[in-house]
Amino acid sequence: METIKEYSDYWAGIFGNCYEFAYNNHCLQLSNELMPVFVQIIGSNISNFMLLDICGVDNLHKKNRSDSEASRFEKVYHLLDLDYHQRIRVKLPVDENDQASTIIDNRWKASKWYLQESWDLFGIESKGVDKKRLLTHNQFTGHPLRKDYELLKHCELTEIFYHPSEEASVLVSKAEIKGEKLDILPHHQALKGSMRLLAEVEGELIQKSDLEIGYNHRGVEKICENKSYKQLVHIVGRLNPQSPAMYTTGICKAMEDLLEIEIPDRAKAIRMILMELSRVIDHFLCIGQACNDLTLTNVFSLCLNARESVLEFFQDICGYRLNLPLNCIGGLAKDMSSEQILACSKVIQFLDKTTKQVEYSLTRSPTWIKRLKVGHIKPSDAVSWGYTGPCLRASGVNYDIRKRSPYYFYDQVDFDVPLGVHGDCYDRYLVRLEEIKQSIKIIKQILNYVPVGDILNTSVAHEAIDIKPAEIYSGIEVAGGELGFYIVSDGDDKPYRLKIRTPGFPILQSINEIISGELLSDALSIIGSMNIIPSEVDR
Amino acid sequence: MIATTSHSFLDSIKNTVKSKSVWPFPFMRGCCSVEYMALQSGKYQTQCPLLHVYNQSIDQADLLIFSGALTYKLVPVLLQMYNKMASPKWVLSVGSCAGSGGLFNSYSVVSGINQKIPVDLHIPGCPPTPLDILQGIEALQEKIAQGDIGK
Repeated sequence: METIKEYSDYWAGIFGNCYEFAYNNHCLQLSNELMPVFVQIIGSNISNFMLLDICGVDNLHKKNRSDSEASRFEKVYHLLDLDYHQRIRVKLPVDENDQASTIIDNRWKASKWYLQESWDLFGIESKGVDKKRLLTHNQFTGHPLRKDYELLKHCELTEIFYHPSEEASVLVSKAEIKGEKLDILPHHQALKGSMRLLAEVEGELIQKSDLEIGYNHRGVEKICENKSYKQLVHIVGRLNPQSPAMYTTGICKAMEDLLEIEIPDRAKAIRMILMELSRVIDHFLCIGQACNDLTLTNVFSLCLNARESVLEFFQDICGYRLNLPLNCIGGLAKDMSSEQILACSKVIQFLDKTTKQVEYSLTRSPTWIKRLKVGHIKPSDAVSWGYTGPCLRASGVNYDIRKRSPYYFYDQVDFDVPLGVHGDCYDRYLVRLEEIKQSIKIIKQILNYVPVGDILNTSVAHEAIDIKPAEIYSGIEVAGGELGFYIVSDGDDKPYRLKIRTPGFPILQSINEIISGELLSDALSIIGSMNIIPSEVDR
Repeated sequence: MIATTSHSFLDSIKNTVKSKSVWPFPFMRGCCSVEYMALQSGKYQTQCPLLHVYNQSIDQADLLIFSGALTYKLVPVLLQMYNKMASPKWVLSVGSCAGSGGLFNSYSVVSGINQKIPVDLHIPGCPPTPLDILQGIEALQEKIAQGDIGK
C-alpha cells in the first residue's frame, strides 16, 4: 500500500459504498452493524492507529440531510494510521443514549476527555464515562453546542466546587491514600490562569491528581457557527497568543482545500516564513517559561528578547505584534517589501545568536539537567495519549506532518526532524531547541528564494464564499503539534460545524497520570515542558 | 502646587507615597498575558519599577491586574480573590476581553468584569501593546496620587 490510491482501494474493498475519498480525506460512514468489522480490523494493530479527535455533530438543522444522517447526532472519530500516514474519519450515527460506539471507545487512553467533552457540549452519553462537566461549569444546564441552544443563553455559577476524581491513581491504590488535600486555584503562575489542580499529597509526593479545565472556555466553536467564513479567520487566530499566524494559516489552508483553490507561490513562501518564525518564538517562550518557573530568570529574559525582535518585525510588516491580520482566504492581505525581507534576515541572525546563548547557558547546566530528568513517557503511551509535535518526537516517534504529508514548499526545503531518546522533560527541551535551529535553517532557505508575483488568489478574495455541502479535515504542524480543523458545510455562508483539534488538549489530559507519583516541584517542570496554552485547550 | 492647609498637604504626600508602593498581582490570561510577559524583556525592563515586584500571594496585593475573557466558570474564583485582597485595593482590566467580552460574545463569557467587581481603569486593545499596559499602570498611579482611595 504505497500510494493513496492503493490505500483507498484497500478500504473500499472492505466497506464498499460506505467508504468515500474526498478532499484528500478517507471517510468511512459506518452503521451499527459495520462498526464491529472496523474494530476487528484496527483491533489487531491498535498501536498503529492514533486517536486524533472525537467530536459530535448535531444534525438537527442541517439542510439536505442524507439517509445516513437521519439520526439526531453523529459521532466522528479522526484516526491517524501511523504506518501509512493517512487520516481516516469514521462517522457513526448515534442518539442521545446510544451505546453502539462502546466497542471503539476506551481503546485509547486519549478518549476519556473527548467523550466527556461530547457529553458536556452535545449530551451524547457514552458507556463508562462519568457525566461530569469538562468545559462548562457544574451548574450549567443544557448542552451548548446543540443547535437548539441559543448562543447567548448563560448560566451563573455561585460557588467553587470541590470534585476530586473518583478513580485511584495508577501507583497508589485507593485504600492507601491518607494524604492531605491540595487545591491550587487557577491564579497560580504555573497553571497559567486557566487550570485548577486538585491533588492529594503526602509530604511533597503527589499521590493522585485531578486537573480541572474550562476556565478559559469561551465557546469559540459556537461563535464560529454564527460567523461567516471570512470573519472566523480572525476569531480562530486569537486562540493561540504564543505563536501568531499559525492558527490563521491553519484555518485558511483548510478553507482553501475545501474550496479547491491554489494560492500563489509568493503567498505560500511568506506564510512559511511567518509560520516558522512563530514556531521559533513559541519554542523560545516555552523554554523561557520553564526557566522562569524554575527561577532561572536570566535565560527567561534572553528568550523574551528573541521574541521581542520577531514581534517587532511583525509590527513592521502589518502593524500588529500578535494576532497578525495578514492571512485571508486565498492568500495574504499584505505583501512583504524587499526591505522587510532584508530586515527578516537580520532578525534571523539575532535569533541564531540567542539560540547559541540559550544552549550555552542551559544544555550542560547541572541544575537544569537534574530538574528536568523527570516525567518519562514511553513511545507507546505517547501514541495512545494522542501526543503530537515535540512531545511525541521527544519520546522517539518520528512523526512530523511537514515531512510526512508536506504542504506548501516543505518538500523542497532541507530540514531534519529531531527525535528524543528517553522521553523526559530534558529531551523535550532538546527537541525544542533543535527545532528552533531547523526552523531558522528553513527560513534562511526560503529567504534566498522568495517567488515574485501575486499574493492573493482574487477568485475568492473579493466575493462572498460559496461552498457546496461538504466536509473536510485539514491539519498542519504548529509549534505544539497537529492542529486540525474539521469543517462541516451545509451550503450556507457559515460553517455548520467547526471542530478545532488542538494539540494541547490530549497532552494536558495525560498530565494527571504523569504527575502522580512525582514530587510537587517536579510537577512544575513537567507542566512547563509540555507547553500548554490554556486558551487553545479550552477553546 | 503647594496645598493651603496642612491637612491636605499631608494627604497629598500620603497619596504620592501610596501611588509609588502599589503591590500588583497579575492574573493574566490569553493574548494579554504574553504582552504583559514581554514587559520583562530587556527592552522595557527599566521603564516601570512597579513590575519588578514579584508577588505570588493575593492576600498581600492591593492591585489586581486582570486580563482575558471572564468566563462564568471563573467568576467565583475571581470574587474569592477580590475578597481576599486587603483594603484599599484597585483593579486594572487589560484588553477588550476583560473589558467587554471582546470578540467572544457567547454563552460562557461575561461581558466585562465590571459587572462582577468594580474596575478602576480599563486598558483597551486586542491585545494592548506592552507600552499601552505601562501607560495604563502609570495612569492608575497618577489617579491614586490625585487622591483615589480605592475600595
